[in-house]
Parts: sequence; structure tokens; C-alpha cells
Amino acid sequence: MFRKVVNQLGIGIVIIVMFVFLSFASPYFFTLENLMNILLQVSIGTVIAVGMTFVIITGGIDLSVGSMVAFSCVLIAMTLHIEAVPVPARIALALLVGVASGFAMGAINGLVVVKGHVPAFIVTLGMMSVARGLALFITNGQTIYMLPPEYQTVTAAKLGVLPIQVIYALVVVMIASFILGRTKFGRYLYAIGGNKEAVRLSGINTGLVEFFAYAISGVTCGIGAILLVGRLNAGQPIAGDGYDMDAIAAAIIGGTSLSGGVGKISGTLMGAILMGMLKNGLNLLDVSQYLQKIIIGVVIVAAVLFDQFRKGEHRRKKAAVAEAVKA
Amino acid sequence: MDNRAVVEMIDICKAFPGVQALDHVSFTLRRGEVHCLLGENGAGKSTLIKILSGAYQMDSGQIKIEGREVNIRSAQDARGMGISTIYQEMNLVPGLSVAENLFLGEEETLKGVSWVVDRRAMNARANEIFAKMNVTVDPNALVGDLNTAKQQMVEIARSLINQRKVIIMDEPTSSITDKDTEELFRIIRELKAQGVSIIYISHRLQELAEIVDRVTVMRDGQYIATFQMGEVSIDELVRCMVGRELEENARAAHGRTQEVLLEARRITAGRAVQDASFQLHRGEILGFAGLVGAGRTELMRAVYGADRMDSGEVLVRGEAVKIRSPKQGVKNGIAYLSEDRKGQGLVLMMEISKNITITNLARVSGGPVINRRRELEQSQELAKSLSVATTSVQKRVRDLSGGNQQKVVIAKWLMTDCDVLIFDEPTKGIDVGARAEIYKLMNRLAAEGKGIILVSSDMNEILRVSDRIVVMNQGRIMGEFENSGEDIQEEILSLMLGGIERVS
Repeated sequence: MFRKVVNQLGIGIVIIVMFVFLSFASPYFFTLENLMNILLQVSIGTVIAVGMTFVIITGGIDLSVGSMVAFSCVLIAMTLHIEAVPVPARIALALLVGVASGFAMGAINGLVVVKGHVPAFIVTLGMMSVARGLALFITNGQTIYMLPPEYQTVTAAKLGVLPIQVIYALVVVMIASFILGRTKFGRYLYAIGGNKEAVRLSGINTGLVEFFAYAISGVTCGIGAILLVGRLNAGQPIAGDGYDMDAIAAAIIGGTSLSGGVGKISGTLMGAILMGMLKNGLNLLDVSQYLQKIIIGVVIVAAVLFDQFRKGEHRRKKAAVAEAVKA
Repeated sequence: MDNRAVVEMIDICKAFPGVQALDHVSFTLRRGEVHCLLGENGAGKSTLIKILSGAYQMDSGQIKIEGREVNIRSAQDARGMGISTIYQEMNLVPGLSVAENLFLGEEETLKGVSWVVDRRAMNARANEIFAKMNVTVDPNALVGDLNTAKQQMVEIARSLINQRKVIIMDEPTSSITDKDTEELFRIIRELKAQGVSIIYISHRLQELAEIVDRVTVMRDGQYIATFQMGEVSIDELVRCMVGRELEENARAAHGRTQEVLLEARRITAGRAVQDASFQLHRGEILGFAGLVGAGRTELMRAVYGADRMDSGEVLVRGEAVKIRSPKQGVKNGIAYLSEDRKGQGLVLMMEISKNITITNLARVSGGPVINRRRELEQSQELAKSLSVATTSVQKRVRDLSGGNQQKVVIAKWLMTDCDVLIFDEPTKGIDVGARAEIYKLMNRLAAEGKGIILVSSDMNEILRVSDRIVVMNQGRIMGEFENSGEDIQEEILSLMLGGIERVS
């Protein structure tokens, strides 16, 4: 019985244990304000990890997400400074620029991976440097401030106690979940991750599917940038540093397989929450920043190890049954 | 050559589920001889040499090496007894140098420092061995940069670094050119002169006379006869391989029509397919016979759009069509069932229903959204009509047997509205019972008015189910036969092996 529950919940069990522990360990943890704060902290990372999940399910990887976020941030902030356009139109334009620039960069990644047959690791490593360089170059390394206050109202307000960014993130999660679980495109993503050649020989344009996986990763970076500019009320060319590893970690902790074919958005969401809660808890407990890095690293590996162990147990049991049947 | 036996295999039996692969087979290899094992696919040659090289364990029987009874339980055992095998697929690491490959696992090390590799010593010994073989190969060259023939030299050299008594060569000439074959024969003679015995497996009867001393023929897991090569004709060998009694013909009458579903005109694709043309009628099963590497798979892949074709034309129901990708192949009603089920046919980690519907998700979707209920219904129905043995279509394909996996592949193509189904080695790795079911399915599909192409290296299979038979050799179509039940087997076999083109 207990086993079954553990199996169903998977990584959720780690979250629950941590949640209970932190509630007792710190008086500030289990408060509405802090819980909302955690959700706000993880919302941008979740959006980006969603796109990452699409790519990883096809068996690829996207190392450029942090840099794409930065470049989109800068472009959004620059658009918000176009004085000739009235503010409402300017904001609409900025949102469009955010999504479009993300799509464009992701599309380039996808194009080179698919048409050029260059490993995704290399292509996105290149984009990581190029997009970061572009962001720094066009701003000369300076952060862009003095954005119209209405932009924050749209992208970073609060509905009562609930930050609107959390809602946006949830919408992205739900749409992505639907695409992966219910649509033809989603099915092809999984199938390609499972056996690309078999899918190609089944008469499917696998290149096009893969291309869109990378493009979507770019789009989620654009959306992440829209939210980040709202949160910071500025366009920083150095924004998004470390987002790549956070997004990959969230997906992997959530059960997405680096070899492709397996993964769920709900898992990625849990992975992101786990990481966010851990960081929040460590801050509340006043753990040194240096020590935090060590703990986070250990937890990432331990969470996946726990998952492997769980699956391994399952496999062993199945093998034992098969053996018994044979005998 | 002297007459002392190096290897004696006596009364060897080996069974696999459903097949008696070896039935009391005996085989003797003398010192310094080149001994050919001859037989059709499935005759038991491979099983026999795999037992000798330690890859399989025999069920009963006795093996003697130089008169002493031995027990070969692993490849290491065999190697320890001086037996090495050169398989069709090369076992070299392309990213390492020639010398590094030669000594892989047995590296020469510096004196007194056993964990430091002595590159110079390895190169020197490699040169020694190549000199002995009388070939020039640079020990520092990367194996991946060498051509197939040179790689084969490295394989042979590898079997010589420790004094080997017996070298087994499995179809060594199947992937190299005639000129390289000459070179290979020269080396074989050289080895022979040094007292090495060679077991040689090949389907190319013509080349046997040149190199082989004795030949042993096997059929259906049984020993048939052993001849001195000089005292037997090729005709006689073929007759021995085929056997007199023809198998009963399992073809059902399934109403072949005159309508041409698919026509290939003068297709050339790379070096594998040269100027190949054929016609497939509605309601017929068209068999493609040939040796492994004859270009049959390549021809089909080109027709289907999986690989590029350099020239030629494909007509579907009389109209010329452009097929540049599998997607266009599917759109034109062609289905290709790859010989590599696991690698190219199925997504093993996905469930049965999802594998079945992937070829035509539109049929179970409204717009971009999959209707899961409809998907399960339709895949359930197909799985049932093909009698896929499973409790649920939501089980993973990985957990099915080979025969049932093959049925899932068929089901996934029946999801499309295909008219033409190309079966490439559909019963490879499938046991006898499931085979009969697959044949029955093919008959049924033909009766329903589809055109079926059967590519198979199993002669019996071709004769059992085909209405017509096309024979290919080295990328060319050699002839075409009505499978009228008359004794055409020998003629087909001799064309397969590269005989004279039949003018029909």
C-alpha cells in the first residue's frame, strides 16, 4: 500500500517531506506570504523549463535558454522606450517582440540542428554565446531602466495575494500539458525521442517536428523574458544567468529522460517547485550562500537517484515475476 | 596439407524454441586446409560455427581440438584454444588506430610499468604481422579511415597476433570488391602455407574452386555430404543444398489481377541498385530472392522514399509519382515494413496502440487533437483482427514477442490506406508457428486486393508464398519467374549466386 503511494507520487514525496520539514524548521516558511513568494520565484523558471521539456523529450537539449531570455529582455525594454508609439500599443508591441524574438532564436537552433545535422549540444552552446553577446553588445552592457509603469501592471501585478505571474505560468503549463498529452504534435515528440528512424519511416516529417520543439523552447524563453522584465522593471543584458541548468534540472528531476521519449509537464512543474522551495527554505534557515550551492547540487542528484532506485525496484520485481513464469 | 584433424565436431545437436538448428552434425577440419561450409540460410552453418567459437552452447555432442576433448563455454575459451572468428560485421573500433585495434585488450606495455602502453612495440609487432601477411597497412592509421577490404586485413591480422590454429571467416567477400577478393585469397593461401586451418563460409560458389580444398554441405540443420573441391561440380553442390524433395506449396489462390499497382522503371541508387525494373499487380505476392547484399532492401527503400534514388521512375497505378521521402511514399499508398523491426519499425517504449496509430493519427484525431477513445477502439480492432497476443493495446510493444511485434508493424500500416505493402525479411527472428501466421496474413491482404512484395533471403519462404519471383544479384535484376510449382529452385539459386541472366 505504502509502496504503491510512493510509486504514484514519485518526486512528489520528496516535495511533501521537504515541505513538512521546513514548516517545522522555520516559523516563516508556512505563511501565505512566503508560499506565494515561492510560487512567484518559480514561475519564470517553470515557463522556461516547459520549453526545455519539449526539447529533451525529442532527445535533444537546449543550453541557450538563459541567453535567449537575456536578449529578449533587452529587446523588450528597448521596445518599451520607443516614445513615438502610445503606451498601450507600445506594451502590446513589446509583448510581441518578446515572443517573436524568442521564436526566431529557437527557430535558428532548430534549423541548424535539423538541416545542418549538428548536435543540439553544440548548436545551442553556440547560441548561448551569441545571444548573450548580442544582448550585451546592443546595450553596451548597460541595464535599461525607466520603463513605463503600465508594463508592470500588465506583467507583474498581484490579484489580491496571488501574483499574476503565477497565473501566467500556470496557463503556459496547462497549454503545454495539453499539447504534449493530447495532440498529434505531442505524440510525435515522444515517438521521435523513442525511435526517430521508425517515425521517419512511418511517413512523418520528423525534421519539422524537431524544429518546432526548439522554436517552442525559444518562445517560452520569450515569455519568460516578458515576465522577468516586469518583475525587475528593467531589461538586463546579464539576466537569465544559470537558467539553463535550472531548467534542465527541473525537467530531469521531474522524470524527463535525457535520452528522450519520456517526460511530463506536471513532472517538470514539480521539479521546479522542488528547487524553488529548497532555495527558499535554505534562505529562511539562514544557510550560507556557499553552502546552499553544495546542498542544491546534492539534492538534484539525490532526487534523480531516488527516482532511479524506485524504477529499479519496479524493474527487479518485474524481472523476478518473468523468471518465475519461465520456471 | 596433412590429414591430421585440428578440429573434430562429433554428433553436435542444438535446438532453439521451435527449431532443431543442428541435428547430429559432424564436421572435421584438417590442418592447413580451407574448408567451406555451404548451405542455404537456416541450414545451420552459423549455428555450427557459433558453437565452435563459443557464442552458443551445444545441447549434446563432442568437440576435439587436436585429438583432445575440450569444453568451449565462451568466446574467451575458444580464443584460448587458438580459434578466432571474423564475422561479417566487423568488430573494430573506428576511432582507434590499426595497432590499437590489433592489441585491444592485450596491449603491449612498457617494461616494468604495466599500465603504460608501449606504442612503439605495438607498431613494431603490427608491422611484423602485416609483413607476414605480405600487405601494407600503416599501424598508425585510424581504422575508420580504411576501406572495407583494408579493415578486413586488420581483422585477419588481429586473429594472428596470438598463434591461431583455426580462423573462421563468415562471408568474408560479401562486402569487398573483386580485386580485394584476390588480395584476400592470396593471404588465405599464405596462412594455409603456415599451417593455419580456415573455415570459410560463402555463398559465392564460383570463388570456391579457387581457394577451397574441401566443402561440407548442410541442409535443414543436418549434415549432407563432404566433397573434395576438385571432384564435385557446382551443379551437384546446388542440388545438395536444395535437396530433392520440394516443400509443399502453401500458396492460396488470391486472385491476382492484371492491374499494375506499382511499377519501378530503371531504378539506380548508389552502387547498390543498378537499373532495376519490376511491376507489382493488384492481388499478388511478388517475391524478391537474392543473397544478403544483392540490393533488394536498397531498391525497396529507394522506391519508398527512405533513401535517395539517382535515376529511375516510380509509377503508382500507372501514373508517374515523385517520392522523395517516406512521407510521400505513404501518401502514394506504399508501406514499407523494415527488416529491422526494433530499430526502424517500432517505438519500443511506447504502447501498442500508439505504435499502431502513428502512421495515420489524422484518422483518430479531430484537427490537431487526438481522440484517445477512438485511438484505442481502432487499434484494438486492428490488433484483434491480426490476433496480436496481448491482454491490452495499452501494453508496451517492448514486452511482446517477435511475431507479435511484427503483427503490430503490419497493423500500423493497415491504419493507412496503403495499396502496396513491402515486407522486408518479415520472419527474421520469428519462430515457426508465428511465421505461418504471418504468411496467412500476407495471403489475406493479397486476397483483399493489396499488392505485396516479399523480400526474403529464405528460399523456402519465397517459394511458399510468392506468385511471381524476381531474382537479384549485385544490384541487378537477373530474372523473373512464375511460381507455377514446377522445379525452379535450382535455376533461381544459380541466378542468385550470379549465374547467367535469364532472358524471359
